[in-house]
Amino acid sequence: MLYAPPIARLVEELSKLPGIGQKTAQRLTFHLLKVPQEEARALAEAIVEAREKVAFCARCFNFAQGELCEFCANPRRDPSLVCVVERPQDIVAVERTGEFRGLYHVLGGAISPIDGIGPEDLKVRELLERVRKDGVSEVIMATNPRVEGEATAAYLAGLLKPLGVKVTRIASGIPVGGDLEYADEITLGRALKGRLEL
Amino acid sequence: MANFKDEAIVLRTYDLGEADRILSLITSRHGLRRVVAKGVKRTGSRFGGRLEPFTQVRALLHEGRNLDTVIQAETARTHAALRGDYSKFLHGQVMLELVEKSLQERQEVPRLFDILRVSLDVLEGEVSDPSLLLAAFSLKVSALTGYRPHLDCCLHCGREVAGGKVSLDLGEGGVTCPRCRSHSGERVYLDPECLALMRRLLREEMSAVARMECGQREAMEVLSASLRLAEAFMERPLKSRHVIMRYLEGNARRPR
Repeated sequence: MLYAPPIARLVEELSKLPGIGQKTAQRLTFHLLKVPQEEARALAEAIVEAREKVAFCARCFNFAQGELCEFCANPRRDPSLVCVVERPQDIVAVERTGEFRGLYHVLGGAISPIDGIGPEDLKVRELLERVRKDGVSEVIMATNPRVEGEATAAYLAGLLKPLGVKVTRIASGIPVGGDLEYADEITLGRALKGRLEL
Repeated sequence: MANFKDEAIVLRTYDLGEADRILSLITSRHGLRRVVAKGVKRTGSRFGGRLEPFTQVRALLHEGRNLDTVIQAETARTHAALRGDYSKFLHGQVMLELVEKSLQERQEVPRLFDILRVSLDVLEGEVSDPSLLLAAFSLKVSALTGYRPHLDCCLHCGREVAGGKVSLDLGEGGVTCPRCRSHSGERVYLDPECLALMRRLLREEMSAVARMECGQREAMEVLSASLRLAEAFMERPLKSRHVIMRYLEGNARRPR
C-alpha cells in the first residue's frame, strides 16, 4: 500500500470530482494534510452542510435552502415575468446584469437527442403548469445560444404561445470588446437584424 | 504532423475544461476526425458560432497523434433553419448521430460526407415528410458503409416474399420468407406497403424523397425499421432514436 488508508480514501474521493485526476487529487490531499486542522474541518463541514441543506426550489428548480429559492420567496420580484434558463449557474449570470426583476425557471439542461435527452427529461411540464396557474404574462427564453438551446427555445415557444403568453428570446449580437472580422455569420446577421437607432 | 485543409460538418461537441471543446467532424476527404477547438467557449473566440453542430465549414486542421486541432474555420453553410424548427432539428440530430456512430475514428467512407451535406440541405428546405427523408438517409448510410439492406427477396433462398406481414431480420440485414425464417434473432414485421416504400427510399435521390408522402403510421413504421437496421449493423444503439420516436408517437396521438 502506497499511502495510509485514510490518505488513500481521500485521494480516491477527490479524484471522483469533475476535472480532478489522480495526480491533482494527491496534490489536494497533501495540501489538506498540511493546512491547520480547523481549515480542513471547515471544508468538510461546508460540503456536508451544502449537501444536507440545499435542495431544489419547488417552483423554479433553482438550488434552494428551504422549499423556495431566494427569488421565488422574494415578494418584490415580478411573478408575471419568467426567465427560462438551462442550469442554476445561468441564474447567477443573469442576476449579475442587474437588469431582471422577474422569476426564473430552471429546465435542468437542453434538448439534445444525440445524448438521448428529450423534453420529457427536462422541467417542461412544470413550466407549462406554472404559466397556466401563476398568471405569467411573459416568458423569456434564456437558454444558451447553441444549437440545442435554440431548438429547446423553439420547442417551448410552440407549447407556450397557444396558452396566450408572450414568448421572447434574449438577443444575440457582437460581444462588447469583440471584433467584427471574427464574428460568425449567424451572430452578425442577428446583430444587424436587431440593430438599434442611435 | 502536418496541417491539412478540408470541408467538414460538425456532428457533435463535448466540453473540454473551462474554454475548449472536442468536436466530432465528418470531413470530405479525411473521414471522421476528433478535433480540439481551443477557446471556443469564450465570448470573444475567433471561431464564434462556426463550430456548432450542423455547420459546414472550410477548415484548416493540424493533425495530432490522437486529436487534431482546429486552426481556422470559415463557414460554408450554417444550416440555421434547423435550429429554429424543432422537428427539423430532431431529424437532423439523428442524421448526425447515424454518421458519427457508423464510422470509426479516422475511417473514410467515400460519399458519406456528400450524402450528409445534401440531406441537411434538403432538410432545411421544403420537405413533405422529414421522417421519410431520415429513413432514406439511414438506409443509404447503411448501404454506403457496406451493409446494404437486402429488401428485394428472401436473403436465404432468393424467393419473392409475398402475402401478409413481411419479416425483416435485423441481425441478418434483410427480409426472410416464412420457410427460411430463423427462430432466434431480432426482427420486425412490416406491412408489404412499408417494405415497398423502404425499397423506394433506398433507390431514390434525397431531393425526390423530400417530395414523397405517405400515411403517418407508415412513415413511423418505415423510420423505426430503418433506424433499428442501422443499429444492428453498427452494433450500438442510437440514443436519438427513442427521442424521435417518442416525438412522432406524441404527434400521432394529437388530434389533427
